[in-house]
Amino acid sequence: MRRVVVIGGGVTGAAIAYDLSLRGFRVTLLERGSAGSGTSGRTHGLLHSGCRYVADVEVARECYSENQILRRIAPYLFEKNGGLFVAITEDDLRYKEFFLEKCEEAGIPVREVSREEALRLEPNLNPQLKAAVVVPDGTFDPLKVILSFLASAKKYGADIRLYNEVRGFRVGGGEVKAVKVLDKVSLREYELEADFFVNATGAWANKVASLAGLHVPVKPSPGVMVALDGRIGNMVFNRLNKPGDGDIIVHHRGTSVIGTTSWVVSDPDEVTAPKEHVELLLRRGAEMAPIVSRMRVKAVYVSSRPLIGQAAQTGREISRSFAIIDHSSEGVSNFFSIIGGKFITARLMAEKMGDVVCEHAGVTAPSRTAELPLVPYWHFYG
Amino acid sequence: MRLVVRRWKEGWRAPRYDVFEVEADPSESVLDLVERVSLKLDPTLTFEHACHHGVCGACGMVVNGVERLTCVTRVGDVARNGVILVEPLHGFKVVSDLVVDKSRMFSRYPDDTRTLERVAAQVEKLWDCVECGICYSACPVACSYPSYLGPSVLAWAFHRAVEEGRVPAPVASRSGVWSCHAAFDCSEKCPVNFQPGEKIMRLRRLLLRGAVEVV
Amino acid sequence: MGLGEALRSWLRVRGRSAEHVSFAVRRLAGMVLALYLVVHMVDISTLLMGEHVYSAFLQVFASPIGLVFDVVLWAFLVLHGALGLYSALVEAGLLLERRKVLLAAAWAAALLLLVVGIVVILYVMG
Repeated sequence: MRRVVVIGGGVTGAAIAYDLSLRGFRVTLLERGSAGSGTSGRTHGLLHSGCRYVADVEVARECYSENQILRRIAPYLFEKNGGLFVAITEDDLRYKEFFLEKCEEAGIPVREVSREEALRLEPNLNPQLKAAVVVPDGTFDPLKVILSFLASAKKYGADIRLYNEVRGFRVGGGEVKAVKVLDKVSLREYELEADFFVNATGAWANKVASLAGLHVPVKPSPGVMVALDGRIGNMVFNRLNKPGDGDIIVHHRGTSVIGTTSWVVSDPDEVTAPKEHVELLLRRGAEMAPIVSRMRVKAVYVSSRPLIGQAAQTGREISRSFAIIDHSSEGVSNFFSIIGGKFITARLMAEKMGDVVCEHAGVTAPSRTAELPLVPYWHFYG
Repeated sequence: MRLVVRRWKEGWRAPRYDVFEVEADPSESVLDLVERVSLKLDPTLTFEHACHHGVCGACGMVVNGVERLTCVTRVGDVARNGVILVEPLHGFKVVSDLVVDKSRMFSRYPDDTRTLERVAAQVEKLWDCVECGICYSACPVACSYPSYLGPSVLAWAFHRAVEEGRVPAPVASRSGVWSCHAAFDCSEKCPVNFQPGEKIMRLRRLLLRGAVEVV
Repeated sequence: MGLGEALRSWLRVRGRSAEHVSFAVRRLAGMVLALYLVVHMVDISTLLMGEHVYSAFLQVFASPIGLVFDVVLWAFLVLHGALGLYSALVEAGLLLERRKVLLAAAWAAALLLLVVGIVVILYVMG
């Protein structure tokens, strides 16, 4: 049986561990912290309909298709209440025709509703809204989705090692031979040999790859989110316009989260939330739902997207689709990195990563993650 | 700010308390502080965290003697004379430092997947319980009786009983609702006001009245 | 789970709510009363050794230290009783919405009975 080490216990690493275990690989997953303690756990928790990305129809279509798959394989993880795109200003209104056209092109079922209908559905929306479109968004508790992927991987034999940090690699003969790991539970250092290594550490991908002398063109792009002390709706509130700062409010459990901003940093371990971002989010959030200005802020947090770096200046313009980097051009044939993507496309990213590993290993098993139901998160324990 | 952390690793005979001096803003969360210590001062410090906004339940700890969800606990609200002491939750086996093994809670879930409640005909939401384990840590029975099902699991069972008119036999046994002794610290410490204590007592009432079937 | 660990979790007061502290007091009082029951059995068993032995034993309780012992015992008894009544009601699922008021009432009743008892013990018997 071929051995694979997956580095990173976020949603992407968890999904890759699951995909590869299902295809018969012996998988060990290494994560320096707890499950989802990096970027994925800190997402705003939006099950994208794809409508946010209609400017790129391919990305939108991919998003919607994953949205449908996740609803099918784990309906219990998602609040499937849909979302609303609302126009507040004349400028928003001018975006509507383009938006509806592109949604149709991407095959996403949307429905324009009257102002009265929108306010009946979500009374906390700005009563001044000029147009509203219902879309198939949803929301989730990020950790439980990650744990469900991990539980599923475990069921098919994956060894999930949390609190195991990668400290280096043993490289030789054009290959990574082994990974050097610090087990923080027992304070023991050890080496782990494998046939393939998958670097699924997202915003940290270059930090990890550089331990093997490799380079990953990732641009960690943090975004601030503000969680309110209370829940102001059920459907996701989106601003009907090009994606921008503070244009989304996501509700789950007892809270509503306003997101997000975007900038670029070099080290995702050195990020704090700028105060002006919090003020901006609250102001922009209140434009969509005036009640925001009367609510207490429960938490402010930052999460670093693993955007694919090219020549772009700020985070927003960089493509949001994902990339798999085969490091053979750098002289290492069995080490792959995966960056980009979104929380909800993790399953698809894992499928493609699985295809790459299978190709190198000469394995023909197809991915089965789109068909099989996910194992519920509580099976991860005990 | 002085952050004192209870440390314990596999193979240690006894825990030890480490003191970290850190710069802190009173409006930051206790979790931000712990994370900063793990990134800057001691990478071997282990703790559980994910959402950082109070919905996932990973980061429950005992802060200055009180169970709290550390991501929504502000430093300025809990520090005493510039000191914050963080310890792992009680009632669970410690895995490493602040990480505890929550399987005594998660392994008692009914094996189906109804984690969503319907709040209206068309609206579904996840139950408000964030599954943090704080109620176990706060409960004197859960901390002294390992086979007790525990507050959150019994509160879920109450909701199921109301919906379906029946409960599994363990819920109505000595390891279930009948072991609760009204300390109500579960309800008092619950970060989302899920009221496990009240729900256990309501379930007892249903059982006493014969309104739910035991299967 | 050892006895020490169980006792520590029952009698924990640091950072606990009034409800938990009341539980701790109720349980401590219950344990003391159970121990007293044993002492009391020994005490009345002295009758078997003759009436004069029993009377001599009783004299111990009429001393000032005996009176303090009585007061403490009475305190535990009323606390256990009043808090027990509170717990019996809420544990049957009754008055749950008003449980905080009920708990305050239980403490008030216990303290009132305690004062009455002290007066009786010190002035009437002493």
